[in-house]
Parts: sequence; C-alpha cells; structure tokens
Amino acid sequence: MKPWLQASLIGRLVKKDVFSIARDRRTLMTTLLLPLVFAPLFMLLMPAVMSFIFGKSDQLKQTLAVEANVPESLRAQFSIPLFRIAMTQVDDVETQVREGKFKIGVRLRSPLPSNMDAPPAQLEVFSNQLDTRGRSMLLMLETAVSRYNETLLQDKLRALSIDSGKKPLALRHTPIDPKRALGFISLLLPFLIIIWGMIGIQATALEAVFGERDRHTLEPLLVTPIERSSVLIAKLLAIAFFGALSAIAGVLGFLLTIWLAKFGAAQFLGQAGIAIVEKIMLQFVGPYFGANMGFGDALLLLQNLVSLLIGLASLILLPCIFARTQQEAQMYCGLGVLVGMAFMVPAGVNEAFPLGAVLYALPISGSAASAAECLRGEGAWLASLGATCASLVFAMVVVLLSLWSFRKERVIFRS
Amino acid sequence: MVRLKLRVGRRTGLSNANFMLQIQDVSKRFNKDRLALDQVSLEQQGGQIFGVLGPNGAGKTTLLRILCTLLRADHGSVRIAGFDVARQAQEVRRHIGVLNADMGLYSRLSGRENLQFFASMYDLMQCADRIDALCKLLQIGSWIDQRVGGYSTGMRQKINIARALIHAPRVLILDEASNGLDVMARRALVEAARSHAQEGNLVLYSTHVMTEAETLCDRVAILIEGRIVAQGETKALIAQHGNTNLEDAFVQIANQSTQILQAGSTSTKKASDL
Repeated sequence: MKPWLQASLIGRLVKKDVFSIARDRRTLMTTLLLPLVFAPLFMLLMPAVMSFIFGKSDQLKQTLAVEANVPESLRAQFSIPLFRIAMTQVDDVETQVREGKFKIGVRLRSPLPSNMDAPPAQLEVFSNQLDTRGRSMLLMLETAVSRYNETLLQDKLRALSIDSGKKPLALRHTPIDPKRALGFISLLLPFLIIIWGMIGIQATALEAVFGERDRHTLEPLLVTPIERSSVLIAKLLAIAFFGALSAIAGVLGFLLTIWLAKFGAAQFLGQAGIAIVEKIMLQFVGPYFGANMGFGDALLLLQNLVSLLIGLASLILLPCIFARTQQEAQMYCGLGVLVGMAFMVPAGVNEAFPLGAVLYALPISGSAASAAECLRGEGAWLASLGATCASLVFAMVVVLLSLWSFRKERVIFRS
Repeated sequence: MVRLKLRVGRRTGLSNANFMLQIQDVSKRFNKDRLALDQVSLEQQGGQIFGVLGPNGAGKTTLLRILCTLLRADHGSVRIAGFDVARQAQEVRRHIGVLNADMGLYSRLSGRENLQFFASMYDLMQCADRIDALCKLLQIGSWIDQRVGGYSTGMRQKINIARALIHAPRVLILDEASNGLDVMARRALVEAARSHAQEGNLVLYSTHVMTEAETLCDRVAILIEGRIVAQGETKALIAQHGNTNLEDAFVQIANQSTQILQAGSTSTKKASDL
C-alpha cells in the first residue's frame, strides 16, 4: 500500500480518537477543566481559606500569657502584622502553663533594661505542647527580643554620636542585561507543562489505547487495511495531542491565576494589594517574562514541546499495549509517569551539576531544558534540534518496541 | 428480501480457477504442544455460503483468524480473492469483512459515525449511499444516528453486520456471529449473509446452531480436533450419512471422527513407546 494512504489512515484514526475522547466529559474534565479552572481556584482559594481561618476567627487567634512585670514597651514589640495575639495578664505564668490553661507564656525575672549599660535581664518563656501556631509564637518572641536589643544598641550609638544609619559598605547590583533577569517561572513552566501534559496523556491513553482492547474494537480495526505500526503511530499522536491540550490548559490556568490574584487584590486590598501582588509576580515571573522571545524562539519552543510530549506519550503507549485489564493499565501508566518524571531529573539538576551539551542529547529532559531557554529568548537552533531529535528517536525506539510486542499473537489476543 | 444495490468495484487477484478461497495444508500450533490446525485444505468459489462447523476447541476460530490475517499459519498457504494471506495481507484485508460475537463498536460515536470511520479505513470517503443501502437491508435507519452507548446487543450487532459489509467484501467471515442475538437480529444477519452471497461473494459461516447452518449453508466442512473430517454440499452430506438433518449427521460424524483420531493417537503413542 502506498505510504500516503497509510498516512491518511493514520490521520483518520487520530481524528476518530480525538472526536471520541472529546465526547467523554470525565476525560475532558481531567485534561482541560482541571488545569484551566480547578487548579487556579485551588491555588487562590487555599490562601483565602487559610487567611480566613488565621486572620478572622477570634477563636483561633493565639493567646499569650503575660505576667504583670512585663512592661508595655516590650509588649508593643510582640504585636506584628497578620499575627493576631491576645495577651492575658496572669499572676504565675509557669503554673498557668503547667496546668494547661495556656500553651505559652512569658515572665520577666528582673527589671527590663532600658539601656545597654543596665544590668541584663531574662525574658522567660514557658511552653506546653506547642503546636504549629505555638512554635510561630516562640519565633515571634525571639524576633521581638532581638528587635528590642537592636533599639537599645541604636540608642547607645546615638549617645556616642555615632551615626547608626551610616553604612560604610553597601551592595549595588547592576545587571548587565536586565531583560535577561530570570523569574522563577522560567524554570517552573517547563515542569508545569510536563506535569499537566502527563495528566492529559495518561487520561487519554487509557481510552485510546487500552480502550480498543477493552471494548473489543481492536480486532475489527486490525482487519482493516491499516498497518499495525500505523495504528501505534496514530495512538501516539492522539494521546500527545491531548497531552498538548492539557499542557496549554495548564499554562492558561496559571495565567488565569495571576490575573485573578491581581483582580482580587485590587477589589479587596486596593492599591496596596496590587503593589504586593505585583511585587510577588516580579519575583516569580520576572520583569521581562516572554518579552525576549522572538518568532524564532516561539517556533523552537513549539518544536521542543511537541517532541517532549511525543516522548512522554510513547512512555505511556508501551504499557497500555501490554495491559490485560483496566487495573493493570492504570498501574502500568502510573509507572510510566514515574519514569517520565525521572527523565526530568537531569534538566532539574542542570544548574547544580551542569551537563553542558550532553543535556540536549538526553530525550525529554533535553527538550524541556531547550524549551526553558526559548522562554527566556535564548533558544539555540542547534540545541533545540539535538533535543528534538533525541526525544523523537527515543519515541521511535519505544514505538518499535511497542510494535514488536503488538505483532505478537499472544499480546493481541491476551485478555 | 432487500438486495444491496451498490457494489464497490475492486480489483481482485483471482486466477482462472476462480476460487475465492484456497487453503492448502494449513497447520497452526500453539505453545509448541497444542496442535490447533492440522493440514487443513479447502477450496471455495464465490456466490455461496460455506459453513465451518465443529465442537468447541475444534480450531474454527483459529482457522478464521488466519484467514483474516490476525494469526499466521505455521505451515501451508491461504489465498483469498487470489491474494496470499501471508504476503499480501493488506490486499486480503481490503477484500474481507469480519464479524464475530465479541466485536465491539465505539460507544461514544453514533452507528453512522462508526460506519463512516470503518469505511474511511478502506479509503471509502463517499459512503453515504452505501450506508443508506445497508440501513435499508438491516432496518437500522431509525436509530443509526444515536450513540452506540445506548444500543441493545441486537442493535449493536446489526451495526457490526453493516460494518463488516460496508466495503462490499468479496469474502465475508462470520464467526459465531449469531451468538446471543434475538430472533430479529439473527434474521437480519441471515438475510445479510444470503444477500451478500447472491451477489457472487463468498460467506464463511461458523456456528454452533446446526439448524441455522442447515437452512443457510450451501456447503459445510466439519472440523474436529484441527482436521477437516468431512465436507461437501449440506444436503448431500446429510444423505450420505443416512440422516434426516444436519445436527444428527454432525453428531454421527463427530463421534466417528473422535474415535478414529483417538485410536490413531493411541497407536502412534504405542509405536513411539516401542
């Protein structure tokens, strides 16, 4: 049969799979709705819920037992923003804490030193069964004591006519190319793409590959003129397509989270809130995220992502062919995902253990690293080509391995 | 009876002998010690329904799977519509339609979409008329546009019959295809098989139901323990063994053959022991 006809049969099988999976609400929910809507909601709602629990509930605010001799000047240091503390004055802190009436309490053994030359004193802290919030309170007390000592030191320096604000040595950072400043996202985004891509691939591989055996459509398919290798290639492309959709939805969901965070900050916190969110985003996204990407970088990015997803899809394709039952297929897919994650390790540790050009010769990992470079506007065609070839060759080897088993009678008819 | 009006013209590799099916000395062994088929030979022309009968485990499904290129014979050759099954598998697949009781459909697609997909696998992109003709033949027109997920077993099997016929195959292979079907669906299958044979095609019909085989099949072959022990025209085979129906003839042939084969294997074992 002519190769173009096999290619068109592959196209028709891919179209059928895409069409069929697109009608499955549960799979669509996993591949598209989960990364696009649920993940942002979860990311935004979780801090909101935490903030509600810790910020607004009077019952949950931390109570600190304080003896009468702790002066107001020190008590003022105990209050820090976003940490609600109720101070209760008691007679004997140690007994009260020992009896379990309070989890934490403070006592001043001797008078509070008002200057650096005064006799030293101790702020005694008693605690009982400290939980997370109690440990935070302890940390806050340590900070308060340091701050008080710092105040006394500043006073002493002023008394000695030493300019305490003077800084003989200062740090001045001058980035040569500020547009190349990296945000955390440039490292995170390829991993996000892989994680969401894997979710899309896994969800659809079960349906497209194992599903053929499960619903007894494999036999009718194999008695049509399509070759077995073409069936495998079609399945690989179909699941990689849904992996790509899932990855795109994941990235869009991430951008939606940023937008919602800004919108929410503007609505509820005003200009100050917007400033906080923008500051976080500057750290996270970087000042020039995506601004350096040219058309060439975008093309290379697409090339790397396609090869990356095809490489990952091949990892899931192989176990789905072997599986006899749905349970087996799910278990093998889980292993495939773990192997896929293992392929990401070289890209993840490249900063600590530079692999140089070798990284681009590694399948999947090389494509991920190259994709990250394209995002920074530093895509190199040679590195991208090498990484793409490595991922595609890897996928081809896995497909050949799959084909080797797919041609076996006992694999086709195993059930 | 409704006859299919449309025929899909196709090149065949038929020789002058005009046999639609030629099987020569085909053997198949599973796991080295189990002989599923033992030097099976058959020749059939088109325009008839040929029954492949045998008890469970006789090798019927193995034989039919070799014919539809899903299994490879260890020995011997098979030609369908003039094409060699081992060397011209894709050409063979273009000329066969296969249906068994277990075959499924894509449940999220409608019956029509299923048929369109399988037609596209045979490179038949303009298949609306063909589907309409099959709808008329199988009386599936009223629900063909509903999703298969909501179909009953009979409805599914009717769509499967249409799937097997969508490309007008020269050889239609029906392996226990009537299992689990109600009277209406079974009748639709029988009508489709008759109609297809009357168009000059060969229908291979494997079944357990002897009354069905007797009324439907022009010729039958009886397969026992991987060997063809009897074959011929259905009526002649019944008369030859002095019976009045195929079921009695089948039982008689099967019992005699089993005894002969067991005696043969015992003497072979004794000879090897000596």
